[in-house]
Amino acid sequence: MLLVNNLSKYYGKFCALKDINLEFDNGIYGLIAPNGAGKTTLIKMLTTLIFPTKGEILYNGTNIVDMDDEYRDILGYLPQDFGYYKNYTPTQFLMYLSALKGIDKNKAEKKIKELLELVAIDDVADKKMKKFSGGMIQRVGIAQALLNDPKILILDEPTAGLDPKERMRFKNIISELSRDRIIIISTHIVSDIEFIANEIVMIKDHRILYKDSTSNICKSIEDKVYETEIQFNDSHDFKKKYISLSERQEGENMKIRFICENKKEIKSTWAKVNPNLEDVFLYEYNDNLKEK
Amino acid sequence: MDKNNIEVPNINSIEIKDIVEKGIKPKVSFFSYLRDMYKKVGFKNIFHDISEIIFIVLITLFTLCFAAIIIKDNDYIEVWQIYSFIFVVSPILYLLISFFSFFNTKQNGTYEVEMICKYNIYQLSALRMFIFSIVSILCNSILIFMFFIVNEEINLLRALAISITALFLFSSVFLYVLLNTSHKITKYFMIAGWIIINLALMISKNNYYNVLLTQLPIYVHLGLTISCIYLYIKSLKKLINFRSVKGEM
Repeated sequence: MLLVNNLSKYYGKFCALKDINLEFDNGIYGLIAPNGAGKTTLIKMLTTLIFPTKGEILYNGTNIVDMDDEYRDILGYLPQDFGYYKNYTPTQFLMYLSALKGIDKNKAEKKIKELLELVAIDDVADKKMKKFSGGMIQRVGIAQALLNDPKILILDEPTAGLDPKERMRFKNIISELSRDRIIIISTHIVSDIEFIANEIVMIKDHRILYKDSTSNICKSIEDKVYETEIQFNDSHDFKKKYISLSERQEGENMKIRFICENKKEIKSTWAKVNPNLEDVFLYEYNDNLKEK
Repeated sequence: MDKNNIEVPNINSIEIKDIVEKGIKPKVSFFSYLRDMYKKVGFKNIFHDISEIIFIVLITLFTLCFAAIIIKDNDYIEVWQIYSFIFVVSPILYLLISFFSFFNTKQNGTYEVEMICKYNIYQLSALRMFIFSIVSILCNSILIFMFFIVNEEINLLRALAISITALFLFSSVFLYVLLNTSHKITKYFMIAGWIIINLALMISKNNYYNVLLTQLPIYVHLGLTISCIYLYIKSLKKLINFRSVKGEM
């Protein structure tokens, strides 16, 4: 079990994260927040790339900083900006990282073959990566994070650059892996984790806002999400009053999904809809959604 | 309760030993650690950028040999100035290879991926720097030997001691600055300072500098060399356990 205890991180006087308390058991955790909320800071502390100003992170009761290489031995990580050696082939690059991870050469060769098949780049295993597309590089990144069969897998924006088919494959891989390990996925693409995450962690103003299942989090805006059709000319005034979640054209009109917090304003023409995680996300981080 | 008759649970001493052994990490000496790392990671992976390193070594050696030929042909150059030249240039090769090594990692953006490996960038750098220092000693020795062939006034042992002292003194300070300051300007200032101060002392024909390089008894030179090697090894040990607060070097 991974336990985050009263964690705070300051850069000088700037507070990046404050009093974070979290508990992770085997399963998938979606870490969602807009850019700048402290997601990457938390991930960097979970991977020991930076250290907390206050508090600690414990794995099975031991501070991960004290565990040192023992912790890195059970950790897999895909950073947001995944760097690689351009003149290497995926096989060469993964062999290099396997050596740094202290994996035996024969075991590594077998594992790399398996992983390249898993992320479907086995056909370009011996091609130089400088010619690869963003999606292919991202798949090499996912493969390297799995090299040591990690007990804790942390992925920062793993679906960036992946096409819909690759996203689906990624979700299936992750669901399969989550049975016997902790998987933490940081993203701002809510749909990527909405249906696969056991729990969602939302960060707001550098603190934890929610850590709960998707359905429980969605309950927080139950009875507040509606859909209706309005005329394009009325849309400006409408959006001044309500938080718009999504809009699409329906013939001459506009179909709008929105938040109404005052029950007295509800109209009979509005249809109440079940909120989803994206609605919660937009509602909680709605600073610029209401038109002025 | 009778304090002379306290019930002690029956614990197998072998079990206790087993638990303690599992709980406590065995202390490994610096050299055993480097040897184990070398065996596990392998030469090919430690020097994955070997072709670039060889290129830097050859270019530096060629430049230094060229400078040595110019010095040899200049009749106004005194022996102590040759010692001074050796003192200034001995760490240059080491500096160039080490700098390239950090620059390359940063340029490729592989820092984060390599930092969370069992053997992270700092530990690998310690091993690489240790090997670089040996390569530098060998290359510097070739250069000194060349000086000796053309100018027999040079004391070979003194020249070697000066070269090794300079290399390890510079490397220790370089590592200290690298680990204790995050300001890039301090790092560049230290490197430029080494070259400028020594060159200024050499050109101004400073008497103390002259005496330090030529008159100091050889055993004092060797003592200084050993102290600098000790300092360097200590700095490398720190590098192995170093974790940057900011997350980058």
